[in-house]
Amino acid sequence: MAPSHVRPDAAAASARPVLSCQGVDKLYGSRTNVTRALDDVSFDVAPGEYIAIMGPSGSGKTTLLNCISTIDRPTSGHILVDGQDITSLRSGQLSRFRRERLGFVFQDSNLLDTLTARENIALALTINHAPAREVPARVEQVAARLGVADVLDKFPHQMSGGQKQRVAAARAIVTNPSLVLADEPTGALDSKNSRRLLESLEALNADGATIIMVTHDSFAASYSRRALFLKDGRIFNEIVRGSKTRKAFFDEIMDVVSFLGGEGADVR
Amino acid sequence: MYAKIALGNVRKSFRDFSIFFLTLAFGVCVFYAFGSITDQAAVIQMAEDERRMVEALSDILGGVSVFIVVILGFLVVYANRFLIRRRKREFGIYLTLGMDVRHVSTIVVVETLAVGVVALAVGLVLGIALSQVMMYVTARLFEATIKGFVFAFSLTACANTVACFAGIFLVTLVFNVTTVSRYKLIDLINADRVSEKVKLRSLPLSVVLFVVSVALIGVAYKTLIEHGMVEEGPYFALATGLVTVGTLLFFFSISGFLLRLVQTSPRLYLSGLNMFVMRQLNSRINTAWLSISLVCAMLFVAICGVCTGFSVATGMNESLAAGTRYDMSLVSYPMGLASQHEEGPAAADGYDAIARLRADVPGYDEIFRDAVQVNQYAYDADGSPLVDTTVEELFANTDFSGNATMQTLIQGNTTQTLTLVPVSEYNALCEMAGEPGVELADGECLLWNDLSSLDELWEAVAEQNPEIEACGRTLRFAEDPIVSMLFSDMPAGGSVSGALVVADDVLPAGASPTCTVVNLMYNGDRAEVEPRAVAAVEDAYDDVMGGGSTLDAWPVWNLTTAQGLLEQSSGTTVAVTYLAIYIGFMLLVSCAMVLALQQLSEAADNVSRYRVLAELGAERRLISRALLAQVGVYFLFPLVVAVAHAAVALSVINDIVALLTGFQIGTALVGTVCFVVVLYGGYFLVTYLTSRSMVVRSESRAAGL
Repeated sequence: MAPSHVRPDAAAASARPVLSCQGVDKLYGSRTNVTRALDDVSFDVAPGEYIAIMGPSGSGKTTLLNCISTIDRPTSGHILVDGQDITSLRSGQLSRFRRERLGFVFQDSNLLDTLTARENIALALTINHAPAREVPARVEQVAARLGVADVLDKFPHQMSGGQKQRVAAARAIVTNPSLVLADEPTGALDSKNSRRLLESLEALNADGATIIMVTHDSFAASYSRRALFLKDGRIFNEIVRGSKTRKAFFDEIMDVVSFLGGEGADVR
Repeated sequence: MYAKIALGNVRKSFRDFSIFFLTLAFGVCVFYAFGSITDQAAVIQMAEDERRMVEALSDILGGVSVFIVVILGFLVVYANRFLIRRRKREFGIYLTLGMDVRHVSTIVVVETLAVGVVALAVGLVLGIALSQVMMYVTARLFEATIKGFVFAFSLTACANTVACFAGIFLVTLVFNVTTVSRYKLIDLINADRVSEKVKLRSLPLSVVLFVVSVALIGVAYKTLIEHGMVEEGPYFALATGLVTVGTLLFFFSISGFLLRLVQTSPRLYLSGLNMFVMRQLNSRINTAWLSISLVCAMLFVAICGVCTGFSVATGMNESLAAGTRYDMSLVSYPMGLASQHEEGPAAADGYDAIARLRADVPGYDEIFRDAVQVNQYAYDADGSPLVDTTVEELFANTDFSGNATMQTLIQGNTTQTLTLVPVSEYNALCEMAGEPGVELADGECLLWNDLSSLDELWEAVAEQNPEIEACGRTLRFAEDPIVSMLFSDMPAGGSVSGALVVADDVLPAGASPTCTVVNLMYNGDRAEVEPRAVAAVEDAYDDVMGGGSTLDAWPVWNLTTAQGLLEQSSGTTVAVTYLAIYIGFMLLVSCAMVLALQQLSEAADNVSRYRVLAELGAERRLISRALLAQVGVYFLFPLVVAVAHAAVALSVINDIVALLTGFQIGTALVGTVCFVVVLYGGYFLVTYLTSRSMVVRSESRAAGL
């Protein structure tokens, strides 16, 4: 993975987007009682971008992520990844899409408890039919980047929560996916481990990985380059970090959050 | 209140309880069905001696049932253990809420009791239904009829079943209470997070243990093949012990060994889901090796039981056809038993048994159409042996690489000298049976052996000892040295083995027979004449037959009829077949049950793991294959080892069965294989498909389909 020297926000306009959501709707419920979880959501993500999707509970951010990750299907609208419309993929193509284009980081690391950290990371490669001789080196390399090289031979129950999340992040990026999707990755971590994971993600982004992170944590969001705010299934606001410091970006995010009346409204 | 919680729990986690419930109900059902066999027999209209047969059979079944109860007990405790372990966290919550360990125990007791009582009731109902079906099967086997519809309920079987399962149940209860009260709160609370401790043994140790286990099994095989099962001495026990320890060690070591072995090959280990499958197996086999060993042992007994049972039953029928050529055989020892050689009433008749019979048996000529007397001579008029060579000496001079069992069995009675039979008598017998006779050139003799499984041995003897001294003359064996006409009716042949058929003039004048048989053919249909014939002979000789001195029992010491043999053995055939099927069926189903339970109760844990795989983008095909491998190994491993053990054991059993009945086990193998494949394979398939549907369902959820 060659480091990208192009700043994402500068390149955003020119390059073909990695992800393009076009008028995505998602309806739940019966005919008489419809819940509109996503309402005409449209946005693009350029290669190398780092986006945080924020919003209060029930705003539709997890639904959006599920649609992007093909775990769920939108009711209408299109989602294009690398120009390919994933809403029309059949189930066989879906698993192929998932393993080749996406990397997941979940709130509960979702590591396989019977496998060591090394094997958990390697599994993502072997499922992808990577040649066996390349696997050990790639696992070592990605583990070093995420600072988990020393726990590679431990089982999940022998690791701390932070280590587990970083191993999960390593598993997510080891296949060089077009898109890394992180769903509340810091949700179960203390502040020290949160910062460590976020710094890792930031470093991955600096190396060129495209990351979409769903979070309700303003601190976590402040590590991204752009923050999208969802409210009642619609994009409510969007702020770009640009050249601002993380602290300034954090304050800006907090303003929106308190305006939305979400969590942290009274922290200020 | 605790009862309410307990019953609520059962309702809520019905799926978890259903495994325990099914095991218990299944056990009760089968146990009752087989326990009621005797009472079923009362309903079926069958002959008196068949009824006695069934009673003897149910006695044996009673003994076997003890064994079955132990296995069922294990099954129930095992299913229960899963249940308790799955719910550790729940117990932890009770304790944190301030409940006493005693109260949690109460909940567990009430739960187990509720499920147990219902399972017992359901099992009994199913058992009664099953026994009803079995009654008709039994009737068919015994060729008896049941008039109309009969409902059979066996109170004894019911009481036995309830008693046995109450016992098993008590054990379960004690087990549960002690398990629950021994748990520490911290372990209970963390139960969900800490999966089974994955112990990794060192590779060298695993390899050493593996090699040792294979060596032990090898030595056991060798001991068994070399020494057979019936040879005196510690060999059989030694082989059993070695193979048991070897098998345990094999499964113990292979769990550590196999993973490490595959890990050494990155090509294999780092390909597809292999890594996952290996870990999946390893995470369980650390604790599962014991149950796998047990399953292996049960499979072994099942395969051997079914195979031996089938082949003994078939072998008996076949050898019976060969062993009942004459309608009646009367055997006597005119000079007493071999060691006595005195003169008795036979001498007065000039050793002519047929003349004696004609004189003594009322209506002799009307009953019998033909009779041939065959004598075996061992001593001359002075009482010195006609042939100096004993059977033992012949065998000692023969290099025969036959099997151990055969040699051991023969060694039992080889100290006697060879006997002589005049060829005219042999030919008369052939003529009566409608077989071609033999011709002897000058100075030739033949070996008479009517037990086909010993033919090879005798051929080797004749080949390596081409000449033999008899009555002061040197006789040589004819080119085809073995003749095999049946000497007298016997259930499995084998009434003569190693008599010399010689020209009549070889025998010195004044020699008297040590053993005489008169083979008779009825005048008319066998079954029709039989009662009259037996009555007539018994009428004439009831006072001398079978009791008192063999010397005085002239001309009938022993009466055998073809019809009698056939009737006797039909009961035996049924009994043996029944027993074999009972044991085999019970064991196979128990094994399959243990494995299915193990796999299905793990399925819940596995579902989340397989979902992760789906989320990582593993194809459904890949996932199905991984699941198949995982379930398959559990089913296949014990089967392969059990089949290997059984192959060796059966090759030895085959020697015995062949010797007794002349039947080769190989033929029954086809039936056994079908039996195992259908039953065991069926369970495997159901287990795999059920787990797959669980996994695929969750995977579909993951994919949003």
